[in-house]
Amino acid sequence: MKSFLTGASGYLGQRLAMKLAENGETVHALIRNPDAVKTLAHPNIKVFFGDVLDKEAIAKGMEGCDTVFHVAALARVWSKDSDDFYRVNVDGTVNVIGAAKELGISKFILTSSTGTIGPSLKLPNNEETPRWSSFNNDYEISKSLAEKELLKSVANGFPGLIVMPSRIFGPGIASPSSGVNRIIIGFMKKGFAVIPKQSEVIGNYGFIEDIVMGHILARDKGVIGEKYILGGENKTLGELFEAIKNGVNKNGWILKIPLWPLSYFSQFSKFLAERFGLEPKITPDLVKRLTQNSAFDCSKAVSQLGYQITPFEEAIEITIRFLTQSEKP
Amino acid sequence: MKHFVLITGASEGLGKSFAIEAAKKGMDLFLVSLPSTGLPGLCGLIRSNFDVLVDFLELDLCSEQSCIQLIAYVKSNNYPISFLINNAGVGGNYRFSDENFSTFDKMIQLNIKAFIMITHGLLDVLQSQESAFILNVSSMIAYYEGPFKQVYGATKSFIYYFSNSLRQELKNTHVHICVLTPAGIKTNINQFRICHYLGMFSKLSYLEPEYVAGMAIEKCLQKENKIIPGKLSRLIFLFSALLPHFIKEKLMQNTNTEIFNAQNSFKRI
Repeated sequence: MKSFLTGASGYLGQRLAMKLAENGETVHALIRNPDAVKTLAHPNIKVFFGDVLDKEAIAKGMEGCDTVFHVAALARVWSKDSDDFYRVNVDGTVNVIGAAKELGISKFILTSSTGTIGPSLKLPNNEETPRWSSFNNDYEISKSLAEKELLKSVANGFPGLIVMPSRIFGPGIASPSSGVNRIIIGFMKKGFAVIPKQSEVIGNYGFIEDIVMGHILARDKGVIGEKYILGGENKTLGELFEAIKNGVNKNGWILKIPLWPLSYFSQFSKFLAERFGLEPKITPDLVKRLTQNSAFDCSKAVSQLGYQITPFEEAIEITIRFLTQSEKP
Repeated sequence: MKHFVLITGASEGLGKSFAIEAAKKGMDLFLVSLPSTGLPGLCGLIRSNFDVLVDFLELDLCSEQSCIQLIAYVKSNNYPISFLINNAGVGGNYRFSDENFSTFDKMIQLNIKAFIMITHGLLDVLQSQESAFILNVSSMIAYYEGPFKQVYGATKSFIYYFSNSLRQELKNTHVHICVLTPAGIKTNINQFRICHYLGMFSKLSYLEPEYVAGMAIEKCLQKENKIIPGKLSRLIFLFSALLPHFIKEKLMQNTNTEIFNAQNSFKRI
């Protein structure tokens, strides 16, 4: 099997490329940054330079492939020009779908995000849960527009489907994409972490190894036009930080503070970002998400794809072990 | 007391937030919105997450017949509506001479006619409750006339005047009327994106629908008469009272032109 993979220099894409290559499959990897070549050193991986706005590069890389994993996205909460999100995530997806149509690709897997479904109420969200909350940021909006584009093509016979990872963590190249990894690194360096007092807010934390496997399972068993949530266990913020503390440094501190200083700080950061183009450390929508549950139910992927979830404690342990090694000076 | 709330325009934007916030406060819900806008799904979500009664009707309130049907449905089911949120409305920024009359006709049908028919038709239901509330969604622009919002702004002024007038009429009854005059709200993808193109003040005064809905319900139940959500909007409102008329007019012209242009530059992408 020969697969074309966009975003192969990213946190998730790199892991997926290596996994496919290790399984003996051929991967055509599209990357933007030439420095990333060394992270994709495997005889089964053929690197193509370009990005998702470059139709020629896409067509060249996809030539001769059977399946496409469209993983590339601008995955962050802020960009100096908000239209970047729409260009990369929406127009980029349209470009990759367009090439796949021309080349008669047999299966197309779009990597979206549980962020498009949004926060949960009392029960965990699933693939069918309608979005009740307003959008938090341009990333979420652009990813749901990308989903719409894919489903539009599916309605016209295109063999596409969607996978939606939740908050992803685990071993991988250094990247801002994993908030949990960054929290662990911060805790290792400083020995303490600051979290809001309302620490019973639930999130879903997906282990990268599971999510990589989920992508491959979706390609092999996924039904065209369907969405599959690829996540992990639902845990409260308090449980997440306890697990990190226990794994990194039992004598570390978890400082619980009220939300309002964070809220004011985030608004100030946003002001600086809008006015002077300084990248904000925290944004108001991140603070808002700290007050909303984001529990997800992965049972559709488990029952229909055979998706497996590594127990949370074990996944955190593996991640801490990896980051302790890789963060050594 | 457990409220039974009727919300019009409940499937999207601020109306959807009203529905969720009301359910969080344990109110029973009767939701109305246009067909095929996802209302059954929203009702299912609310039913499975909250221990409240939820019923709905999918109707286009632009037609007189639909308003009559809605009123009859509430009465035939004996729903003890004690809270009416008149939220349904259409707006937008248009150059009067360039736009089809049908756009403006729709605004008048929905924002004025349906609003009055429903309020008039259900007032006896509200009056027969122990205590009852009506929350009408007007807009900050009811206070400030500016270009490109001629008809929309006028419908919102209508709602504002009507609310304050009827409140006085119903002073000695147990029906309280409250009018909400919000500035920009990030109710949908377009609003969210338009917001990026605006100046500092407009941008910072944009609010999230969940916040506006939650605070408006609370303030209404506390019998406030007029609600302006958002600290910055309240500050601008107080400050603007001190400005001479010609400056206010100039500022409104600038703001509305900015929004009008933002909408158009956003459409190009």
